[in-house]
Amino acid sequence: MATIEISDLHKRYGAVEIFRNLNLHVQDKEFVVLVGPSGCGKSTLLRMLAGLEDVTDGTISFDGTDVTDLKPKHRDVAMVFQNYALYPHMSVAKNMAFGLRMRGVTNAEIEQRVAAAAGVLGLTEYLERHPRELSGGQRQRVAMGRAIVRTPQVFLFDEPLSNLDALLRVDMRAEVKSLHQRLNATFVYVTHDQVEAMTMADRMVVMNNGTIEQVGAPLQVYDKPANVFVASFIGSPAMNMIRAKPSVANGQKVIRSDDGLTFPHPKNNTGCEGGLIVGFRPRDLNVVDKDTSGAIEAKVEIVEHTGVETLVYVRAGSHKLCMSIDKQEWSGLGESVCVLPDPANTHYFDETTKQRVG
Amino acid sequence: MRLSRKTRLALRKAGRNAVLLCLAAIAMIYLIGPVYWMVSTSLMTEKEMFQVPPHWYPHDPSFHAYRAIFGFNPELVAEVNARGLQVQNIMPALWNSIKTSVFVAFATILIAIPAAYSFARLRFRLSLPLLMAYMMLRTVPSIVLVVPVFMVLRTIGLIDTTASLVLVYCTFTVPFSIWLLQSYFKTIPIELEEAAWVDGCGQLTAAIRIMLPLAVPGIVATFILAFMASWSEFLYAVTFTKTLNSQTVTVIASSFIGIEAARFDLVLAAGVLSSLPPFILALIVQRYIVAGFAAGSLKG
Ligand SMILES: Nc1ncnc2c1ncn2[C@@H]1O[C@H](COP(=O)(O)OP(=O)(O)OP(=O)(O)O)[C@@H](O)[C@H]1O
Ligand SMILES: [Mg+2]
Repeated sequence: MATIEISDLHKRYGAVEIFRNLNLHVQDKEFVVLVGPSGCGKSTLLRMLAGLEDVTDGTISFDGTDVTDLKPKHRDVAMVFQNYALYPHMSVAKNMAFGLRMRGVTNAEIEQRVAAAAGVLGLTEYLERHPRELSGGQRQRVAMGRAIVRTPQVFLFDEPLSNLDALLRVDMRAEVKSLHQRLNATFVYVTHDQVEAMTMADRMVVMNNGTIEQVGAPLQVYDKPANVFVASFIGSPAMNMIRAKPSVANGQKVIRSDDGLTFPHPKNNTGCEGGLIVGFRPRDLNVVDKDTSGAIEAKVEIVEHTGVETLVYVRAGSHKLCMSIDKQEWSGLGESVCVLPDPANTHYFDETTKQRVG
Repeated sequence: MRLSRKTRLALRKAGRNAVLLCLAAIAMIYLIGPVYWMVSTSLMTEKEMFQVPPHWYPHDPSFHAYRAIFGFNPELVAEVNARGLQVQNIMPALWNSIKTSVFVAFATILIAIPAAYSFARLRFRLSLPLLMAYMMLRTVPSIVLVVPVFMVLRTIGLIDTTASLVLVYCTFTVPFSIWLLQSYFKTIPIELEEAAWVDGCGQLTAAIRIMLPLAVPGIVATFILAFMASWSEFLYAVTFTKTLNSQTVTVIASSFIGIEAARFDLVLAAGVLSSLPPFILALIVQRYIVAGFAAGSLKG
């Protein structure tokens, strides 16, 4: 049982303000993923949850108990450090056993738990080695192992899979998920890999520059980004964004960009007087017939094959748009096409506030 | 004549090696020379020692000087004593030196470790000023302090005891040991202790179980330096000791040079003997002074 309540959290390093009025509620047994660009404060937040970083102002409570000033050892958390922090003078087995030993778990139990964790992480044959004799990925798995042998109320992971190869990462992702289901603990997981965030999270917390931009289930964040930052940060390749202003064409209210691209007016009419930013994901841009209403004329500039999909970069007016279509040979470089964003999946943001308007 | 590229490279390499070798040889002579001179001369008779031209090695090596300072050469002792010197047995002095230096070294690291930990890991306002003050202590010349310290020791009745030397030596070994250790501790990543805190250690447990084992090379080096400093100290030793009750080997060695006479063979033999214990100590502990002990704990 552990809910986490972060209220009015402030964090300052001298004159540098990292967080200002941060609020977040994490439910019991929830898997929350913090995502955001480098330097946005993910590690700092995690370290504050662990009790390793002083809180300048505000409170952190676990299960309704204020833990703001509690030492790490009294918080019942396990943490995977971004830089591993393995004990260099101990073998892999001892590294994993240390936390259990400190908490007075019996030797038999320790041995069994370490063996189980090593099995899950593929470290069984390395148990007697020292950290300096391991590769980067193996070290990272030991760091994982040190956390998962324990059964704390809260698990904190700081980019625990960043150094693994693609295959192993997919495996480990599944392992962490199943661990979460098995352990009945609350997970707070930091990553800057969106795929990891999308696939693992019950809820995603998108952070930027020390503020929380949006909190929500992965699909909710993906389908309805709350603002321009989230829209451009989540999703790869990034969303196409075009500045446009309300206008009238053929007696219909539309949105028109400086270079004449027109888009349907958002259904929700509020806040459209000033400038808008129209956004649509590459996947939601489609090739259409020339005479489809609203079709945008464009010229194909670059074609990229990722294997799963084919990315077609087209130029429309002065804008370069990215379109993602099912994998196919595309030989029409320089050719003209007509494209149209799916109106149901077109996003509108206020140009000044950057917030979603429809 | 044009040399091939390969030959030129080989020649250049040989030239560079020759230069390096010469430099190494010079450094070697500079460092080892005096030691060699001491050992070789200690095996000469007084007559051979002053031969012109000098002998580069003892032509007829003899252990007479060693036997004398261990008390096995009564004729020589009597002869020297007749010249106004007083030859004493070096064994008790060696033992005093060992006792003093071992006590000093242990006391020093026991005091310096917790202090250095505070400077390395805790934040308090006086941290920097205090460290600076320790540094300043080292700049006071010992000679200035001899008389006041002597008065203090006499008042508390510690003159001519090993304890007095231990007390006094610690006043200069502790400050430099704190400096050394705190900078060594700072090289150990704090994340390791943080990981231990999360694993359930308090600050003290984490320091003992994680930081101390990793600081062993630094601690051993500090131990040796403190040992050497008190081993070779002379000024305080000669002032605060009177008898073989507490006199150290440096004091005894110097007693072979008097106002009317000097026995260099005895001085040098004592010098050789007194270099042995630190040398042996260094041999024993050097395997703990390995670099890269903390490798592999952090990313990148
Ligand atoms: N001790 C410190 N003093 C001053 N500023 C700091 C300190 N530690 C971190 N910061 C700043 O706090 C901000 C957040 O750092 P943090 O390590 O939490 O970023 P992050 O989101 O984890 O980034 P990354 O994805 O690169 O790990 C950064 O801008 C960093 O420069
Ligand atoms: Mg980080």
